[in-house]
Amino acid sequence: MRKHPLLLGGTLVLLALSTRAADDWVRYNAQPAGSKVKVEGTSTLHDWLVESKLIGGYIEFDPAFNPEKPAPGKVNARVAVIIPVRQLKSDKTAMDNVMYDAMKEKDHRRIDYRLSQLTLKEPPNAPDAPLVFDTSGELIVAGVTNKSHMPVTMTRVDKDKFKFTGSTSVKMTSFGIQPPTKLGLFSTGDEVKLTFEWLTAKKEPAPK
Amino acid sequence: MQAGKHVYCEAPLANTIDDAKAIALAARTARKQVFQAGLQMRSDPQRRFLLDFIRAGAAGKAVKAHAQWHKKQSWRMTSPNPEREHELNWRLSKEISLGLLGEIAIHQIDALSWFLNAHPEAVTGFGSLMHWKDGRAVPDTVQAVFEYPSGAQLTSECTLANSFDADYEILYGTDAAIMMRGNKAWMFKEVDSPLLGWEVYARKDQFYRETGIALIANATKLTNLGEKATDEAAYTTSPLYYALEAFMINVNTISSAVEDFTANFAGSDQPAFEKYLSAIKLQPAATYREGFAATVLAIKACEAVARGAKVAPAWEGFESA
Repeated sequence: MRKHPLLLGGTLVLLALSTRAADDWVRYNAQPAGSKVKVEGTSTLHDWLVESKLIGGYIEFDPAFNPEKPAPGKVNARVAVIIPVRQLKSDKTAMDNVMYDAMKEKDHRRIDYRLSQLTLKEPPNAPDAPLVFDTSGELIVAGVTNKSHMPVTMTRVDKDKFKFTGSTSVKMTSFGIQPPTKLGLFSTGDEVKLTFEWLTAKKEPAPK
Repeated sequence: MQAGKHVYCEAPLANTIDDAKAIALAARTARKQVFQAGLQMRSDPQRRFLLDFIRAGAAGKAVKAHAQWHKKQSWRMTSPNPEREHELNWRLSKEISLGLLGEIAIHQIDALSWFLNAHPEAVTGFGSLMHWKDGRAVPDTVQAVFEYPSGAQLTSECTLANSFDADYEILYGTDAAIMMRGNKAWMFKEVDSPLLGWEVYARKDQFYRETGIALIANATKLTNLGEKATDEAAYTTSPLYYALEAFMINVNTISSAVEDFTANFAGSDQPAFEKYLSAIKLQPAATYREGFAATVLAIKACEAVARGAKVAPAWEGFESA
């Protein structure tokens, strides 16, 4: 396929810009251990719970943001969170498969989150106190994108490590997911609660 | 395994200890793949239910165990041509086959050692060719006695010359004997054994002059619900079906975990990867360790039969291997 030279040029410029920006921003990458996401729901039989320890992605802060002395207000940050659907598991394989089918896992293999706005509510009252942010973003489940607002807490766990925790409630139907039912046996509640702990660590600058 | 394949390896893993060790080591190294030893009883929900029951001390102190496998059949397969004859009838060849103890009794010996929670320290064996004198080199009737550290003994016997009473395993405890036949099990209580309570309501079967209390998974729950325990076993699918189902599920679980982890954390350190994999819940199945242990027992039992002597398997270093 022949590409339009102007379009190609535009892409290159954009690419160069984003690489440039990423160089300045301070990046924290998701860590392979220490994260946990939990989805809790209800059904006519009993409450249910699925969990995963695998949360990928990153958060990047504008170099102007100083986590030691943060100023309340809008914080420039970029966040991408990835949760592979099939790593969400309960104790029952058969029920997990029902969930994967309902979430159209074959076509939409991950839950994605992208941040649009991060606002620090108030300055921390102690040097190492957790920071509480208001967040707005987009949550993409089963290929459907919805706006999401939730408070998120950022806690320092190490010199270069931050843990982000938060929770939000979502409706399955708002993502086009039909709450699973089995005629006469059980039906699942539409609302589910999503809770997460996400461990990130500062990315070492690439050797020059 | 070095080619990156998941492996379901029939038991015994091999017919020499060196080969079995090489297979077990390859399985241990290949962390991204599933290796399942074909000891299907380890995946059988009925036996897993019995395991908890027995380990909880329901039969009292285990004093001995017995395994039997009787079937009148030649083991010889019809060959379309003389060239294929030897390959088809590999079980009759001493060089390749561990005979009845290795091909058949290995499953029962492994299951009973699992219930007894111990590795035998010694094995004595006897075997003879009693009926199928067709030029074969492996005995058609064998017996082996395994000695456990507690002093308990397991007798295992197999024959291809008589089919009476088919196959079963019995664990004898100071309070009760537990018999396992296919997907069913019964408990035969001693008169002085403590009352468990639920057995009053349990279904009972008559065996000549003995009364067997049927051990059915969820039986107490059924009684609580006011339902009668029926003749039907709770798990009617064969242990092999459960083992292969576990293998397929585990292959899917491990390969998807490896794929998702690598996609998100490519280049991360090996310990983090190992930690993630080890936290994954898998379907119950025999690992390379159980496969190796059972193979060692079968090889040693076979050696005991051949030499007509007591043979001691070497377990030193096994736990750390």
